[in-house]
Amino acid sequence: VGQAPPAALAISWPSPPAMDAGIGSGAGSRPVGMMLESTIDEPVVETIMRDVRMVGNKMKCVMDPRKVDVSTLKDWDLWGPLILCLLLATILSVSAPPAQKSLVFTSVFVIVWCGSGVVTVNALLLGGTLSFFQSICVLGYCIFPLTVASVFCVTIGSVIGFWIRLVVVAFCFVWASTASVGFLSALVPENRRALAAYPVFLFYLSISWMVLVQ
Amino acid sequence: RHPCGAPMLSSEEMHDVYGGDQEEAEAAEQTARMSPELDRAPKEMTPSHEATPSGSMMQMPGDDLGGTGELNPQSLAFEEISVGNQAQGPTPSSSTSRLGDSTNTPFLGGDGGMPKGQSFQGAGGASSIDASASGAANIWQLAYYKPLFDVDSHHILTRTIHALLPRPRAQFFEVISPNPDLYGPFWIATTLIFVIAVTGNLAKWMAFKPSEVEKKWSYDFTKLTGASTLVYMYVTLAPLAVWGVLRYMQASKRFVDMLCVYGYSLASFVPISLLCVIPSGALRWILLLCGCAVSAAFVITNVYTHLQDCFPYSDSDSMKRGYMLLAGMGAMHVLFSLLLKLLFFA
Repeated sequence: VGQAPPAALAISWPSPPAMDAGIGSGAGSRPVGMMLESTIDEPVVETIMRDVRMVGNKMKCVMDPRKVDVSTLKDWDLWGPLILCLLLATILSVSAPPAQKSLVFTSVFVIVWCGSGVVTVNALLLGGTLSFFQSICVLGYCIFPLTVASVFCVTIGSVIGFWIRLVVVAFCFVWASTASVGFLSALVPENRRALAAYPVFLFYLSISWMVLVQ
Repeated sequence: RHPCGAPMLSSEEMHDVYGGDQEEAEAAEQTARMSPELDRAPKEMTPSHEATPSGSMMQMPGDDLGGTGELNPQSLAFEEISVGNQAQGPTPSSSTSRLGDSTNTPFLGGDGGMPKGQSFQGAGGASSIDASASGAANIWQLAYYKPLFDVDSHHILTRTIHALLPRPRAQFFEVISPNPDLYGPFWIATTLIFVIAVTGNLAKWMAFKPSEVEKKWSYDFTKLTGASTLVYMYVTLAPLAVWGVLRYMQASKRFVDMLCVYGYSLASFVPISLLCVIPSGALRWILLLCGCAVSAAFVITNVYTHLQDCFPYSDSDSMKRGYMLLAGMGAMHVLFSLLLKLLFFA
C-alpha cells in the first residue's frame, strides 16, 4: 500500500523483445521484469559486448549446421541479419557498375528482407508452426556463408578465375540452404516440406547469383 | 454447383427437396449431369436473371419445402428461397462441408472481391454474415489466406504437369476446384522472374563484344526489376480482366480459379527461358512461339470448356462474345510473349 519501490532496482530488458507468440521464446530464458541484479550500473562496453557475444554465438551456430542448437536460435534477434545484410549490400554495391550502385544496394536489401518475409509467410500459410521473427532471424543468419563468399570474391576472387569463384559460391549456397532448410522443414507438415523448402532454395539462389556476378 | 450459378444438389438432396416428386427430381438430375460441376462456390454472387436451362428446374415453389419434414434448417437456408428468385436454391451442405472453414474466405465463397450482400442473392448476404458472425479471419490476418495454400507437394506437381500438357477437353478447373491454391501461381511467377533475369543477362553476356563505349560487360540489374514488373502485372491483371468479362457475360468463375489458370500457364515459360540462353536468334523465336502456344492453349481451352458448359445450347450471341473473349485472351498472351522476347532475349 503506498510503499515506494526500492530505488536501486532497475528493470533490465533482455535485448530481443520476446514478442513472438507461439514457441516459448526469450521470455523463458530471461524473465522480463524486475531482476534482482541491476544492470544499469554496468559499463557501456559490457552492455554492448553482451549483444555482440550473442550475435557471435548465433553465427557460430549457423557455421556448423549439423550441430544446430535450437535453443540458441529461439532467442531471435535481428541485429545479426541486419549487419550481414548491410555488409553484403555494401560489398555488392561497391563492385557494381557506377550507374547501378544504388539499384544494387536497394535490390540486395529488398531481396534479403522481403525475401525472408515472403519465405516465412509462405511456410506459415502452408501450416507451419514457426514464429515469424524467429524464422526471419534464422534466414538472415544463414546469409553468413554468402557474405563470406562475397568478401572472398571481391578480394581474392578477382584474381583467381571464374570457375573457382563458382565453386566457392556454390559451396556457400549449399551450406546456407541446408542450414535453414533443416530448421524450416522440421516445423512444417510432412507432406508439404518440399513446398516450404523450395522458396528457401530460390531465395539463396538469387543471393548467390548476385554474389557470383558482381 | 452449376457453373453459371445454380446450385447442384446430390440426387439424395434432390429427393429431399422435391419431396418425392419423381419426375421433377429426375429432370433436375438430368440437367445436373449434363454439365459437370465446375464451380464449387455455393455462395457465388451470380445475378439471378441469367439464362441457364437448369434455372427453371431449380426454382422451388415455396409449398414444396413446407411439405417435407426432413429438411434440416441448418443446411438449407430457407430465407433465400422466394418464387421470383430463380437459380438460387438452398445452399447444399455437402459442398460446403467439403470446403470446411474455407467458406469463411470470400475468395472461395465466390465473392471474388465484389461487395457483399449487395446483389440479388440473399444467400450471398447470409453467407457473408455467417462468415463474420463465426469470427472468421479478416482480410488483414494470415489465417484468411490459409485456405488458399491448402495443397500438398503432389498437388502442385500434378497441376503443373496439367499446365504443361494442355489437352482439347480441358479439366483444369475441375482439378483445382476443391482446393485452388495461390502457391503455384506465385512461386511459378517468381521462378520465372528469376530465370528471365539470369538467362537474359547470360544471353547478353554471350553476345557481348567489347566496344568503345563499353569495355567490360557488366550485369544489368534492371532486368530483374523489369522482369518482375512484367510478370507480376500480367499474372494479376489478365485474370482480373478475364474474370470481369466472364462476370459480364454471366458465365462467372471465381477469381482464384482465374489466378490459378494464369499462374500455372506461366510454367511452360520457365524451361523455354532456360533454353533461350542458346545464342541463336531463330531458335529463340521458335522456343518463344512454342512456349506461347502451349500456355495460350492451356488458358484458352480451359476458358472455352467453361464457356461451353455455361452456354450448352450455343446461344449464338453469348458464344460470339465468348469467342471474342478468347481472341482477346490469345492476343494478350501473344503480346506478353513478344515483350518477353524483345526485352530480355533480343
